Amino acid sequence: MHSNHRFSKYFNASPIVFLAFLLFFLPNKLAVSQLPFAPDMLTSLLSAADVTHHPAGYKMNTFRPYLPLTGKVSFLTYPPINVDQALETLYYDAQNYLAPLILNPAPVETLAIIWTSNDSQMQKLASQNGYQITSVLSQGKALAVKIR
Amino acid sequence: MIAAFFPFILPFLTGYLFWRWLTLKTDLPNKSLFSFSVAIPTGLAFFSVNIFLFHLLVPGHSHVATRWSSWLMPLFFLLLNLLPASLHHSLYGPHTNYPKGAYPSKKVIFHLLLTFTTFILFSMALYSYLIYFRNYVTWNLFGGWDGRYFWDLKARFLSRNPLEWKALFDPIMANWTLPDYPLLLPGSVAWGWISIGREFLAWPPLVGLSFYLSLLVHCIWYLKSMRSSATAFLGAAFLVCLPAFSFWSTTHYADIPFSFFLTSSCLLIIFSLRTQSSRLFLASGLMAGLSCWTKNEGIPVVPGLLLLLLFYAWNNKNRNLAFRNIAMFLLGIFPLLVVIGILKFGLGGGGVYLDSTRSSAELLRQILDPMRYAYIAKAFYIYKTNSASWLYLWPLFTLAVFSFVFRMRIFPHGHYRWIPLMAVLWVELAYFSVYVITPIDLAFHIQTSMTRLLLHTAPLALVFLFDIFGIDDPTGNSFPAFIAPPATEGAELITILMPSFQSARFIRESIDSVLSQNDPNLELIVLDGGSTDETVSILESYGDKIRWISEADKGQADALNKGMSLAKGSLLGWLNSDDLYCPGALAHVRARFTSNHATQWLFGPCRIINEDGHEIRKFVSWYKTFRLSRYTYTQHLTENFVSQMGVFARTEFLRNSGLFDIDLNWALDYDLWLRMGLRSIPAYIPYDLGMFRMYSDSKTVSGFEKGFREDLRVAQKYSAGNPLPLWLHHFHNQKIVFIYNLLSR
Repeated sequence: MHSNHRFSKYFNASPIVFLAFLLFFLPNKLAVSQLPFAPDMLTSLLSAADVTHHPAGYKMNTFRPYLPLTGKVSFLTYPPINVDQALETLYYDAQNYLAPLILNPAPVETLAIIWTSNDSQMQKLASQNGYQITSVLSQGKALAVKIR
Repeated sequence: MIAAFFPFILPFLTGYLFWRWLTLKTDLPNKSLFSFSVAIPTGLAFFSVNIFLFHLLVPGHSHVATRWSSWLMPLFFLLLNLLPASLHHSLYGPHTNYPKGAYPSKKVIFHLLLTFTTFILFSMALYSYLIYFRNYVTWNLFGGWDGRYFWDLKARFLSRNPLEWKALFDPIMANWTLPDYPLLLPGSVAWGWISIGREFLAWPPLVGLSFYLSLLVHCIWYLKSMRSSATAFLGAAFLVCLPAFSFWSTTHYADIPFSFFLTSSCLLIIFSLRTQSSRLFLASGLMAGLSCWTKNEGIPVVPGLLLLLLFYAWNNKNRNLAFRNIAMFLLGIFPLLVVIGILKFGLGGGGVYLDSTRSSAELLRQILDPMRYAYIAKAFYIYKTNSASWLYLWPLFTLAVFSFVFRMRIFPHGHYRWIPLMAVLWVELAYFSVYVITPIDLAFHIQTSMTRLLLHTAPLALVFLFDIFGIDDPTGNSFPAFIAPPATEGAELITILMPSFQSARFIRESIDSVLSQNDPNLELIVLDGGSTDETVSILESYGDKIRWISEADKGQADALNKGMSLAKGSLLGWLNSDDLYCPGALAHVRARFTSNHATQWLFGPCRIINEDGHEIRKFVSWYKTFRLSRYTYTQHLTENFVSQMGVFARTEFLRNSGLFDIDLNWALDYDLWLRMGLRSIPAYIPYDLGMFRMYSDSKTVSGFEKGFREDLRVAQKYSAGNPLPLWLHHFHNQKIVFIYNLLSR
């Protein structure tokens, strides 16, 4: 490839300069892992056995036997999910875990999951939204049914 | 231990076999590497479309249908690959293999060392990345927010209960799942879970990894084809070192899959334009369609690519061809657009993008705010110059753009290497426009999306950069720099040589098959060996329509050598006086030579007819065509599957390859083809070119066993001491003798 352009000589040398730059530059830029290697976890994952990990939203496994597989249930927390980021994450994880059951953050469905940190908050949240607790699954966590 | 990889097997086979078939009759370089690079993404994409359609049409049997189709698809594409070339649709354009250049020894040694060095660098970078990926994913298995609560959540709806999958589009979910978003990634993740029968956790990150590795191999394929292996390995090493890609490949986001399809579509357009292959236009359209099926951002990409193609059509003298190619591109996109249309407007509600709660005045005020433009431009500058994410990729890309602009006049337009550049500019312009009109807080929008948006165009920027600053392969194995467009005028003269001796019975038919090609730039020279039957009077009856001589010679080879010295045409073929050309054969041959100046010689399929002109031994024709379409030099050493009347060459190339060996009686053409094959790889055109007449008195039938022995001796001459092709040749000879004896009973 020939050219009479006055910049040609610089351009003709550019591949060599470019090549040399990268050959010296890239070896210092290799990806470095800051995290330790966990062989047991890797084996568990690659064998598709998943013995070292729980799926996202696994906290909801105590509710699973009491819930329908499909349809909608309310998901009520204290404080509400749009206030507490950790509870918002829990809501999304719970939706992941329970899909295709749909979790509605509004207190309008017949059945509701109540998720609070203690029993008094649980009772208060249920009664405020017209629900009656039917099963207490752990401290502050219960299933409730709409009564009004 | 490796059960998590099993769901890749069927998508890989499906994708690989599909691309092998689609690119079979195209000029795409390094087809195996290309097919390998796109196999898994394409296979997963096909399966995701299947899952969506089966959920829609047969929700009660969706998982069963998905599993069955995943086995049937690779089988179907395998069968397509096994079809003889003659059955491939003639709509697809011809193809050529490219001759290798000379090997300047010093440069080759330097280049080999460089290739080795860059390969080591790439291997080190890849190894480091895989270690990083392994450690990161084992501790951060669920990916980023979008991956965890958006893409993987949708996959759960698809994989868990097909009867309830439409709950995905429920208004409650619509607040954060964007129900009109396409389903390539959720479908790919769902496929793995459906195939294994449970939601194993390693699958979503492995899907992300597969797209990233495919992108790397795809860039290697392109840069190897355009420049050299060293450039390709260095480019891939750069890509694998980019922290932005390393990080986002662990997050299960759709940005790298989208980037893959966008890159592939643009790179295929380059080869489509350079080879004028309809199949490649179709392939490019398919990839553009898959980019739309991956992310909504693919939708504005399509008009950009169409504008590029319309620009090409506008500048193309052959508008019909250009518009046919654009139609093929649209045909590739169309099925995916239909699927996306069903999803968006039938199920997803069309989506809300411009925020209908804003008034037109508010929107207009936003659009007319100059500070907003300055803010967005500054954000682009800051993000692109962030070396912690991009290692100076974008500044180097800018340098490459300047270099390209300065050197534009020494880059012929036929290179089409500006396409990645234009694609980058178009896509970034589209994203810039989105930021201008976004209803979301601008700073937040930029903060949460800009690095990911840059991932979409970064591979294109990278291949452009390395295409401009990369170094060429001194062995000449890279794709030719420029392929001339099909000529529309000034056609070259074709000379047909016809050796004859005592051929009165069939020669008129043979001559008529040449003259009936209706080619005004045709010269037929009959070289008669002094026949004493009516041959001469038949030749006289054609007047000045043909040139002929009738005098004693030393056989067919001598006659042909004489004819070569008389030929005026720049293209040359020869036809025995009892064989025929198929109608339109010379038009195909001319089109191939004219459209690709790199083609030195070519061949095509031929049929076998009997003395009455009826086709016989179709299986033999099918077999020879099958082998012909998969020509390699070594394969040719194992068997002479090329039919003489289907071979054409540039006259100068033929003369430079040496004359016919007059000591050979049967294998004179095989001997010449092996010599020609050493100098240049032939092109194959998938059209029937000739008809070989087989009858009891014909030379080939009467002495086929002697002919095979001579073939073997010739193969021995060119096998360079390698016994394997000769053993195979011997085996093939025995096989054919057996079959012919069987058929003649």
